[in-house]
Amino acid sequence: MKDAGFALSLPLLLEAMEMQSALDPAGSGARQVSSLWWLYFWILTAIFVAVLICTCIAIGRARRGPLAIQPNEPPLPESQPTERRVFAVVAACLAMTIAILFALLALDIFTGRSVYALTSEPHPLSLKVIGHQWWWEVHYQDADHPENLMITANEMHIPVGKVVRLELVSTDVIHSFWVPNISGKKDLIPGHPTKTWIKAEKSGTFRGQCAEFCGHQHAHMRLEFVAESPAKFGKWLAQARQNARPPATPSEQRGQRVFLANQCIMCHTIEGTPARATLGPDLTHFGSRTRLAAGSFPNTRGYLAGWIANPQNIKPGVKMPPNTLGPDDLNALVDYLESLK
Amino acid sequence: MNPTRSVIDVSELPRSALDHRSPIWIGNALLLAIETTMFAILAASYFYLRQNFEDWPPPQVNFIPPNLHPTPDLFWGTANLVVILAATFFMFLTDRAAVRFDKSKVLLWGSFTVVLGILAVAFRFREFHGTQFRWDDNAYASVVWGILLMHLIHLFVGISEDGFMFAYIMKYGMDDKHARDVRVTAVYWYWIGGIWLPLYAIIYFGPYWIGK
Amino acid sequence: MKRGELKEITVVPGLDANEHRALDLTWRRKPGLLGWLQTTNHKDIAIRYIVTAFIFFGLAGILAILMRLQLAFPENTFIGPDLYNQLFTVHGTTMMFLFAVPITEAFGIYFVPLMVGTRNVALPRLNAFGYYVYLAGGILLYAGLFLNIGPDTGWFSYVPLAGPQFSPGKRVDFWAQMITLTEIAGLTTAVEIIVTVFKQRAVGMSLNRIPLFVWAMVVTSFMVIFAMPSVMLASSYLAMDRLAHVNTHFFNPGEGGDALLYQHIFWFFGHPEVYIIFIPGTGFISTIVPTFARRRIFGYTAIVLALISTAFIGFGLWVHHMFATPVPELGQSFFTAASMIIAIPAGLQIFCWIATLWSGKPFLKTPLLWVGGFLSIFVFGGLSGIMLASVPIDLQVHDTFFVVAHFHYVLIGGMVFPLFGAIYYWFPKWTGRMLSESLGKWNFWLFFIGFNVTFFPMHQLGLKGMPRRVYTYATETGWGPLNLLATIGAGIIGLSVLIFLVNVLWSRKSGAMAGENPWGAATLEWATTSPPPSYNFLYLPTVRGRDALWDQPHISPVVAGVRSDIRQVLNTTMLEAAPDHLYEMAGDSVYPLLLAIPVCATVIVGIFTPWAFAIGAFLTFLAFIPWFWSGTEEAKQHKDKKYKRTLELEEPAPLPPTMEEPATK
Ligand code: HEA
Ligand code: HEA
Ligand code: HEC
Ligand code: CUA
Ligand SMILES: [Cu+2]
Repeated sequence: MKDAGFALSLPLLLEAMEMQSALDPAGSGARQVSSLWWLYFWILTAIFVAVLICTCIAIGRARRGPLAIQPNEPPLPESQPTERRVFAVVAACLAMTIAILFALLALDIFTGRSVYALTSEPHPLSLKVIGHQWWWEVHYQDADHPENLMITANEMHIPVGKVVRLELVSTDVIHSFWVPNISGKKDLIPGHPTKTWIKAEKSGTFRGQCAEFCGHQHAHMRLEFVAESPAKFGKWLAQARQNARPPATPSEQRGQRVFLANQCIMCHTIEGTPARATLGPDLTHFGSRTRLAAGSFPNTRGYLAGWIANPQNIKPGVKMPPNTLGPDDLNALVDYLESLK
Repeated sequence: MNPTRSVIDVSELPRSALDHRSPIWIGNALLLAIETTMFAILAASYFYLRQNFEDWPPPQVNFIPPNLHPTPDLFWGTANLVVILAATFFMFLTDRAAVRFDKSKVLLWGSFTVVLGILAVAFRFREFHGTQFRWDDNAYASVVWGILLMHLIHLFVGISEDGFMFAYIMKYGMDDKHARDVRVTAVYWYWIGGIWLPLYAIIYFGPYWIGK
Repeated sequence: MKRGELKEITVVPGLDANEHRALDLTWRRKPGLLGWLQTTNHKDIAIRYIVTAFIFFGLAGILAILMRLQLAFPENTFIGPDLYNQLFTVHGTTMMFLFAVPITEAFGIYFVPLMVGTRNVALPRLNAFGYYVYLAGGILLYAGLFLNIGPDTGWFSYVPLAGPQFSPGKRVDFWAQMITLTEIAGLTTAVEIIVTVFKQRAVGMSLNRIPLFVWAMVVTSFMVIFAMPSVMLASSYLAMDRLAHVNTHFFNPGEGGDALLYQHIFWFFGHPEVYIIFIPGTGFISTIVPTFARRRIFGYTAIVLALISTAFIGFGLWVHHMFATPVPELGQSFFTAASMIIAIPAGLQIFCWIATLWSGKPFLKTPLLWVGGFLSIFVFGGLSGIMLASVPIDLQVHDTFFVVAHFHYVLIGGMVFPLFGAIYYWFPKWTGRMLSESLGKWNFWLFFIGFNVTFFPMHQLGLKGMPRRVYTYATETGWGPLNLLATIGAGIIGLSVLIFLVNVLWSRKSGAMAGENPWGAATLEWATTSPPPSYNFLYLPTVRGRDALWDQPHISPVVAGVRSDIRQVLNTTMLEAAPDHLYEMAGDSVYPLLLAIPVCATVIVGIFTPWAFAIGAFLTFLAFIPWFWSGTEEAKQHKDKKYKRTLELEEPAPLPPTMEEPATK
């Protein structure tokens, strides 16, 4: 039935599973909303078609050709029976409108309740997401060992089937956290910490995107969102809690020196090195991310070198300055960063 | 074309109305509705911002001894309330005189209003001082200054309107138009006085009612 | 003779011509540029507003085309983020503040006095003043854009992004002060329209006989009065927070200010704003529909009640723009319910219009085509609004192109389509000539098709995750083809607007002559020549029924005894429109301009220094003096005689017996 809906109504929607679509649900919130949406869609489409048909008939029978009206021609005299009939029809439509609206309202409240049901989960996995102009910072807390905090950026993993509570914080402007396949969005508002609860039901890699306009690079404030089996997730988390892998090859070693000797150290953290600044994304496991600069570009050598040489080129306005590294230094730096798996 | 036409002859109707039947009167009432909305939203902001503070007004801890409850100065606020209401009352007498086209009484009571109005402006500056904050200290100070300032603007406008009108009447005498203008301005003054009652209550008693 | 009494007079040949000459001398504007700067005639001012607003529509449309070109392909580099952000901000701001609201209010300024049968709007100098302030606001915004320092934070400029810390420079100030200026203009217009309708209706036009367009304008004006102060306050708070040396903290979370406070104040205006735009649109429809259906409107009372209830409910659903912010769940349900309830009056009106057409004997002319466009497109947009009203759905599509699609469907469907219909309908009244029907059909169909091609795909884009206000998107999202389609559609709309311009320019000179009442319509503006003379009506008309010209083929009786050598009009009572008193209006003058200059200068220079307010207040004060320092013409003429004293609280003259019930029925 739903697939028939796809095919009949919006043929352009009929594509493979998409990684950033509200109608390809992989999370409990998105799934319920998508059912509700389709329900609304059919009801409202029926209303629309009915109104459209009436309009077409009412206007379609109109006389064409030159307007043969005497100036101040008195209008059609209304006949009482017709008026009464029209009145009855309009009143019936009105009554139906009211009835349908109540039904829609009930459906809405019902779905709202069941989406909110996630909030009553007693032991959710609790993460903190901080929005920055224009990247995401994610904190994986450890309830038992608060000192065991893992900070990462622009790519987050969650286990399938587990309720996750996100604490959403912003320290600059308003952003909005949104992974369409998983759940609806929630704003990150400075001065008003918010919370949202999500639960992935299918594994996969999805794309999130900041939904509230937040300045120049709002378009490039994206997020890689990986929902994976709890086992895989556990492995990922354990790995992510490790310090950065020390440089192995001479080139990587040179890269690390370049990193620590240049301005990079003023903004970035690489756990296990003296770089501990927090103005920019944490790079401890940067090499394991699939995308670069808040999901904007594939994390390939070419893009990375271009990014470091002049981030303003590919993400104009970004809050990371260009720099003047020589080609060898740059090469080594890229080697190093790529090695941070 | 018919050679005869029926008409309603209105040539004997009065040439102006001094009350709510006059367009200016209604126009003025609508402007006051706009300004009332303005103040309503200012007051709503006051209560909304309250949520962001533990104590209201926020304590001033930079001094020794710290001022933990720096409420606005009730004396000057109340004194000015009295002055504003007195000015409004004299405008009421002016209004009554205008209905009777009593030029000398209009000028007499009217000048009381102007003088008291000017006094109210002077007192208003004491009130600003009495808030114990500068407008840019915090959001509380901003909104309180905002309310005081908006109302001050109306005091200014009310006084100037009065001033122009009385000068004209002094020079040319009372005519229909100016009798009506006096009456409309009187409505304005009733509003200036009336709106200040709740605003005064909010500014000066708000810190006690919702302070902690 | 007792006043207010009916009498028969014999028309003496030549009398009308004399009257005409006298009235014209009194009411026409002075020749030359000076006359143009001084005029307070509602038709002059309204045409200015309409032309200016339409130019702004063209400009904002061109900006939209630029945006569409940038979005046509993924990873496009035609326009960078800095310019793109200015484009959508200025596009949205222009369309809302400089086009949609002013142009419908301008139709009100033009037609309300004609429809209620009077000679000018009440408070005509305020009207002239409003226009200059509006113009200054528009110029300010575009000065910013053309200097490439246009505002770039979106049409609602949320803080803290728009605050001093994250938007240094003067960009946002241009926006904030433009808001202040245009809202001043909007408020003055609202006041005039209400006063005109309350006090200057034709004798006999009791509340239940007021034409629906006039009702719509009154309701809109009341909404303006209670909504616009809110946004003026929001923009003033913002400007004060931003202005150096003032630096208040209304929205600064660091000092107890609140970012959500801004959203509440903005949307408390912003939601009523959309009905301020839509309700005049319904007024156009309610005017066009009965004329072309050749029958009285079905459900007059229902429509009036629908308008009034829309206005009331409209103030109770602003939070549906903030569902993604922390609002308690219960509160959300309340605003969902309110948003759905407002579909009831909307639906009721739709049903009444369709019923009128259905049970009439309609004529298909271009204005009716636009009505058809309105009915289909607006209903579609309204229904997508119902989806948005549901919190769970909204949390998915909020701030995506789905919302962009929704609001273009309702804005363009609910206001631009009726507007074009109204232009086709009333153009003969303005110019005396008809617009070309065949060009009109092209205009309509291209617009209709182009519109759907542009905006329908945006629903899908939103559901597929495309946020709004992004200057580009990645190829792998698959949003490319739909965006390209939308861009093509925008081009078709542009073509259609060009055809419209050609139609206007050509028909103004060479269209078919229209005569007084080419459509056989019922309202009073058709009871005078096209274009109407400076004084509107030779004799002030009276009204016997709801559809004035249909109920009384020759408008008679008329009003006599209103002086033609001074600008005198008849004031009637508020409810039943019985003759009340005569009232002399202010004449043409430069005072409005002289007042507008310091007001605008204060607001604009206030972007740079707080001193502007002190100095500007003083100059404004000076400019105000002449408004009070003037008597009436009549008083001047009677200088040394005793003035006729007004009797306080005099009983209004009773309605002549013949006026009580319509002759027909
Ligand atoms: C002319 C302007 C206009 C009009 C008339 C409307 C009408 C409505 N709008 Fe819309 N809206 C906008 C302009 C308008 N809107 C704009 C500009 C924005 C975006 C601002 C921004 O973010 O930039 C917006 C955004 C907006 C939102 C916020 C979306 C978001 O940002 O997440 C919502 C949410 O509830 C909403 C809802 C509605 C509803 C319920 C109506 C209702 O009034 C619609 C009622 C009409 C009908 C329903 C159709 C006719 C009825 C029938 C045929 C009867 C039968 C129907 C049923 C039984 C359902 N609108
Ligand atoms: C009444 C209001 C209105 C109208 C009529 C329009 C009309 C159009 N809008 Fe508008 N739009 C808004 C109100 C409106 N818009 C608002 C409020 C926003 C939100 C802004 C924000 O996010 O802050 C918005 C945002 C918006 C966006 C989203 C931008 C983004 O989020 O990234 C887009 C994208 O396609 C768009 C496109 C269009 C198009 C193609 C038209 C077309 O219909 C335009 C058609 C007109 C023309 C093509 C003009 C043709 C001109 C000529 C032929 C020359 C004549 C010249 C002169 C007379 C000088 N609009
Ligand atoms: C002024 C602060 C600053 C300096 C100095 C700086 N960066 Fe950055 N960096 C940032 C910010 C902010 C971002 C996030 C940009 C975005 O995506 O919007 C970033 C992003 C990055 C990223 C992408 C991270 C990701 O998760 O996608 C890399 C890699 C990076 N920086 C490397 C470097 C290197 C190497 C240097 C030194 C040559 C450097 N940075 C210097 C602030 C800085
Ligand atoms: Cu962050 Cu948009
Ligand atoms: Cu709304």
